[in-house]
Order: sequence, then structure tokens, then C-alpha cells
Amino acid sequence: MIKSEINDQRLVKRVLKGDKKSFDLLVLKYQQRVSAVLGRYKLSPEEVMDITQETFIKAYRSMEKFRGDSKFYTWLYRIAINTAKNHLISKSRRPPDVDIDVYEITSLLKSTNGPESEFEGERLSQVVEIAISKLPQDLKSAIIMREYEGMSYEDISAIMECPVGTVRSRIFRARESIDKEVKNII
Amino acid sequence: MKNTTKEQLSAFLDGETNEIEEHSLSRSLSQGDSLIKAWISYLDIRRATSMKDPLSSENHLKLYREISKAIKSDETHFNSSKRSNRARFAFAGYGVAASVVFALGVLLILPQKDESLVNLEPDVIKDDSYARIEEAAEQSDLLVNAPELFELDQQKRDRLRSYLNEHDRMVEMESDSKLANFKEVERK
Repeated sequence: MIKSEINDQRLVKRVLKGDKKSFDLLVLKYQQRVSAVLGRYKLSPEEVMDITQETFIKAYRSMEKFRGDSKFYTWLYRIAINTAKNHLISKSRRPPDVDIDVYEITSLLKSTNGPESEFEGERLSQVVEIAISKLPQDLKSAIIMREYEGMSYEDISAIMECPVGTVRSRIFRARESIDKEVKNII
Repeated sequence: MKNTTKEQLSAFLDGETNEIEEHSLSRSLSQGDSLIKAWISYLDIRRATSMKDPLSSENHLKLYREISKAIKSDETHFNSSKRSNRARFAFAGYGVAASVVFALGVLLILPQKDESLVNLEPDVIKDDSYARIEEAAEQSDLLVNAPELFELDQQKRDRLRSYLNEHDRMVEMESDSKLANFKEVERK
């Protein structure tokens, strides 16, 4: 079991002990991924927000049913797509025939926003790319391996031949620099 | 907000934190919006690099707040929560018993100490207490100014973990209790 899954199991246990803040942490971790998946169902942003919210509330209420046999995210993902399908059926819109593969989540997703939001999204991508290009080489390599390749800190540390703690610090510093650049430009 | 906390958040979103850091993040969540602002910045970076999600930063912020609010007011009770309530009461009982024993111990020991102090010169007592105060102040300054200098060993980590767990339980118990919340009363 990889580190992230162990962390999720630990947070689930704490939620079951009545610690609601641990559930907030799970929301922070997965909210974007869930909404990105729902974006594939050609829903409006408002619908995506409603279904994402419903997904997390359903997950919270049925937390005891999560046995830990599968990854927490896979379980959450199933709740999200079932909720989306039910929503589309109730609105008399046909849900997609083929389920979206859970492992395709990090692939590029079609935006359902209007042209204005798409323009903002493209602008943000450009600014982030510029910011990444300005980073020192060690920070640039670390953030590219993490954000574009989705590699674990351990894998990055093996490639960069440095401790995991250094990778973690480089990724954090890269994110902070990018954030500063984005705020300066936008 | 401290950079340490932001670094913890950055690592958490990548699934690379430990239990103690999760406790720390959990506490930071209750202390204002700065952690959420950092989270939004990191979501923007992810959206621009690997995940084109359909929601804007504002939508994510609004959505997170709504989910958090809904969960806070949700009345779902888990079985393990009920079990832990029983454990809490048992623990509180042990705590009271331990306090009584400690208080009795202090009462028995204190008079002996006083007698021994009577025989000491006043200057000696003064110097010794000053030295102890200075030493304690120096220690606490070190802890406050440079907490990262202290690496905890396994035993201390276990103690910290059990303390944090207990702290969380007590916080949870407080939120469940029907005692007056003076902060809320003042606000009203």
C-alpha cells in the first residue's frame, strides 16, 4: 500500500472516531479530482458543484461502509459517478454509456465552462508555464516530475539523487514561487 | 501562516505527510482561512499543469465551505464514535483519580520540603530559584524560537501522538457538550 493510501485510511479511522476536521482534510485532498471527473459528464459548473457536494456528504454518511479493501479515492469516485448518473437520469439526460476509467483522472479533461472561463484557464496555464521556466533547475525538475508526471516524492528523490525531505522542500518552494509569479501577473 | 504549515499542506495534497503533520494541519484548519488560501493557490497550479477541472478557484472555495458546513452540522454518529465516548468517560474517571492521588502526594511531600528550606541561608534559596527560573526560561525560548531544532524520538512521538489524540477527543467532547460556550455568548 502506498503512503497516500495509508494516510487516507488513517484519516478515515479518525473520521469514524468523530473527528470531522479529518474529513475536511479528505475534502481538501480530493475535491478537485472529483470535480474534474464530473466535468466529463458535460455538466454545468453549478451542477458539478452540487454533485461534488452530494458526493462528499454521501461519503461521510456511509463512511462506516468503507472497508478499506479498495483505495479511498476509488470508493469516492464510485459514489461520484453514481450520483452524477442519477442526476442525469432525473434530469432526463442520458448518462455516458461507458464509465470513465478511474485511472484516467489526471489526463486532460474537457472544460465545460464558457469561453471567458476557458480564456482565463488558458491564461493561467501560460502564466504558470512562464513561472516554471523561471525556476532554478532543481526546483523546476522537482515540480515538473510531480505535477506533469504525477511521480511520488520517493521516485523523484531516486531520480534526483537527493533525500525525500529535499524533494518535498523543493516542490513546496517551487509552488510558492509559481504562486507569487501568478499573483504578480494576474 | 508559517511556511512549515504551508509545506505540510503542499506535501499533504501529494499524499506525503505523516500522522503528526495531519494533526497539525487539522488544527490549522480551525485557525482561520490562510490555509485554505494556500490550498486554492496550489489548486490553480494543478489546474494549469495537469488537471483541467471545470471549476474556478472561487467555485472551489465556495464548494469547500459548503461541504465543510454541511459536515459540521451533520448528525451522523458512527459506532466507533459511540465507543470512543464510553472510552472518554472512562478516561476522564482515571484522570480524576490520578489528580486526587497527585494532590495527596503533593500534600504529603510539601511540608518536608519546607522544613529543609528553613535550614538554608536566604541567599542560597534566592540564587537557586533564580538559576532555575533562568534555566526554564532559556529552555522555553529555545522551544518557541526554534521548534524545528528538536527531532522527536519514537517514545516522544508516541507521547505526542497520544496527547494529540486526547486533545482531539476533548475538543470533540466540548463541541458535543451542553455547557455554555462563553465565546458564543459574548458574540451574541
